[in-house]
Amino acid sequence: MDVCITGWRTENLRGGLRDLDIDLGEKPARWTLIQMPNGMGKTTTMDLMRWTLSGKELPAATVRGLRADEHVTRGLFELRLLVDETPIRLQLDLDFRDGSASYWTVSADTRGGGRREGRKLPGELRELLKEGLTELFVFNGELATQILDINRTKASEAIRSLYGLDILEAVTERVDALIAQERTRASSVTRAVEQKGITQLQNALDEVKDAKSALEKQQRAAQSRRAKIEAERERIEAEMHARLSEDAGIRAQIETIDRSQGEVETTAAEYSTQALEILRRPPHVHPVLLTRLQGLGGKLYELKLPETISREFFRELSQQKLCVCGRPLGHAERTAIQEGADRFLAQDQISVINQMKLALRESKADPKELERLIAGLQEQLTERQRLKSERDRLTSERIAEGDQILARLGLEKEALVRDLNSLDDTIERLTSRDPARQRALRLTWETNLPQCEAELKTRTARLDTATKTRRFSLQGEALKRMIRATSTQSLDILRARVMASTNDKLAQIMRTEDIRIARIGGSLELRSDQLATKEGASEGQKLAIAYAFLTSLLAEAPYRLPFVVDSPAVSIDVAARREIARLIPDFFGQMIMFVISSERAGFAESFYNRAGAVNYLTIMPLGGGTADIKYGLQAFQEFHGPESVA
Amino acid sequence: MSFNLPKGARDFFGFDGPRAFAKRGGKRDGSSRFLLFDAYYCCLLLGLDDARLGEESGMETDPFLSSGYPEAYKGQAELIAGLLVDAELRRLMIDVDDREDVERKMVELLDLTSPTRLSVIGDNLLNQYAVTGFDRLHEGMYEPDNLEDFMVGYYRLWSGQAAGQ
Amino acid sequence: MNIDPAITEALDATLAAASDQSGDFKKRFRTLVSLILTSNYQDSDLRRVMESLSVQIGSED
Repeated sequence: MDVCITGWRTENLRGGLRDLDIDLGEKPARWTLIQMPNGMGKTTTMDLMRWTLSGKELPAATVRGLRADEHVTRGLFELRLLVDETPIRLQLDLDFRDGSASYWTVSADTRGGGRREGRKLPGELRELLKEGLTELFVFNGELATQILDINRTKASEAIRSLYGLDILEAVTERVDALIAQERTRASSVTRAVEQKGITQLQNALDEVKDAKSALEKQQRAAQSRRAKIEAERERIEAEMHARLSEDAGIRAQIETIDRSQGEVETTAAEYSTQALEILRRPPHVHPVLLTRLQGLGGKLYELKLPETISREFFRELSQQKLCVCGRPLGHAERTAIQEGADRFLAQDQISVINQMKLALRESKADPKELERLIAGLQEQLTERQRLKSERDRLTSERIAEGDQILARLGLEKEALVRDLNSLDDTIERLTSRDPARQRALRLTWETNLPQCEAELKTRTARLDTATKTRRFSLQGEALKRMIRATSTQSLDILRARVMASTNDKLAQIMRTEDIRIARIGGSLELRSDQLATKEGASEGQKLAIAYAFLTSLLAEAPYRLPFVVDSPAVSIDVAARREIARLIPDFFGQMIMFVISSERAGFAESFYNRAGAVNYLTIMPLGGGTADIKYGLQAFQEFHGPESVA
Repeated sequence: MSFNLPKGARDFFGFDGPRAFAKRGGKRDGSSRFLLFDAYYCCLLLGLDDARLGEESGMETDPFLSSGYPEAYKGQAELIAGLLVDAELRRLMIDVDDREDVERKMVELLDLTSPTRLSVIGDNLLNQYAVTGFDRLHEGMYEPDNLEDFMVGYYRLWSGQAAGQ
Repeated sequence: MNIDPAITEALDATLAAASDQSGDFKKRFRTLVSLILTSNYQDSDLRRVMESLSVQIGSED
């Protein structure tokens, strides 16, 4: 991306900036020298350029400090740029009354040349042009000192700024925010975020898993035992049966009993099914219910309930002009009708009573029906009982006759039945899903499988949530480490590169002095054996080093930015000036240099013979804060104005 | 419009989930035909007969059914409603020849739009009657462990005593 | 916009040191850095990259 400055103008600003319009042309020359006495607003102009480029917020005092005089209420600074061939004008609008400042952009694509609020630059550029960066290429001589100041970190900040490493590192804050979000989301399920908490959750989960295994084992054991006992019981019954049947007579009796028992069960089931169906109809349950229902129905008829006229009838009537009898209805009549209407039932109330009346009237039942079924059922149950007694009697007869074995078998069978009942209890405790039953038996997840499974689900969910959160935060930490590593490593590589490049340029600028950069830490650190005085480098040397550094920095960046400098060589001796003038301009793309007349010697002069276009501007004060601009080399060379104005 | 079982009714009928008489290794057959609502209904009829209301503390807190009568009972809504009206008239000793009183009571208890044909007041009264009905039930018979024994025992409750006036 | 070779070099070195990470993550990370440097990323991009990192749970705090 190529950025260059094509001009700027000022309105109502103090110093010599009441209304200045500098035009560097549509395709500006590579080098522009602007001769301007001190006190005419060079520093202010540079400040304004920096602010406009970076969009800095200005305090009211600063804004008012720019005011040309008391009569003006607003002021303007406009910087004209060419960004990759696209013209863009950045404006800083100043309101002196309330001390506010706003930025605007006028770009070629805005219809009618209208302006939009804000700095509407291409995204990357807008991010790039932060304060820390603009001071590098809208260059203030003081920066040179700061770059070399070991107590400051200007040099590494410059590198970080230019290459976006600070943006890269800022992402770590975003990562932290995402982790915090995730934690908040998870905290409704569990608060565990650290490894210790997760371990606890894992232990709790293992606990319930173990409990589940144990319960399942118990269940299997109980059921297998039950099956065994059941089998044993059947075996004993079979044995008893066999023993009884050994006697042919008894065998026949037992077979008959078995058959009868089968029939009884079937018949009983049929009876009970039918009886249940009838039971579900209230009039059939007992004659007294039928009587009540029919009685109520009769009463409703007798009382002429419900009446046939509904509330709605009266309400509608009250809306008519005439009554059904023909008389006109006035306000008094209407009110009376509406009030009276409430006495009557609403239509749907009438309907429901009618429905009931109908059902009641139609209710009939044969009271004998249920009676018969129950009687039949009772017979079956009696018969069932009788058959069982018969069997038992046969058994006990044999026992009474001294059949010890049968007696023993009978006792064993009883013991087994007791065991079975007890096992059924155990199995019920282990497997019951009925919440009421679970409460009644005081079952917990430690003693009941369905509850244990529910608890397992809950604890698994908690652990998963915590693990997921923990995983996410570990991932975040890992990412932050990698981002920082990348940033740090980049910085190291860039430092080395910039240092090498800077030293190359220093070698070219400073032929007679052997000044090199030893290291770029926070600042540029020079090799100490080279410096003449204990105080360090001279002003001129500092400047030279700074230029060398900046050119290295800016030249290799993916952006080509203009370099604006105020009195680039004023404190450097003439010989060095020539070197700087010879070398530095080639290091940059566009260069705009403010010079004062005394800098012409040695510095500006070196440009006169330069191949390629150089733009010369001379700005002269005219009094009253206005200035005159003369373009061209001749005016530049002939200017004999003061070095500074009051 | 929700039915709440009297407390203890589930255990009495040996319900394991939806299956009645399931506790002591009961026969699998008839038990699955007997619904939770059947248990409720049997209690309800006894309570209505007595015309005595039970308390809310005597019923389960969560309804076991909220969507109206089960299929098997769908034709009986008006009749059950009729029994409720009858019970209330008896309980409150409303003169059955007082047309206005009877009408007022019926309007209070009935609602055409409800699947039970009862208003909210009416629905709540059913639950309360079921509570006293259950008291009568388990005072009058042992916990049944199969459907046949229950049917016989229940019928006896009705026929073996003078039905309340 | 191309990333400066210094950053690419740093990326290469950082990713080479992360030998336990998948190729998928490495690719995403490079893209992410590029997007960050051009101010062209959002939270969901960041999340995706984070989620593709493989980490060991159960490491001590």
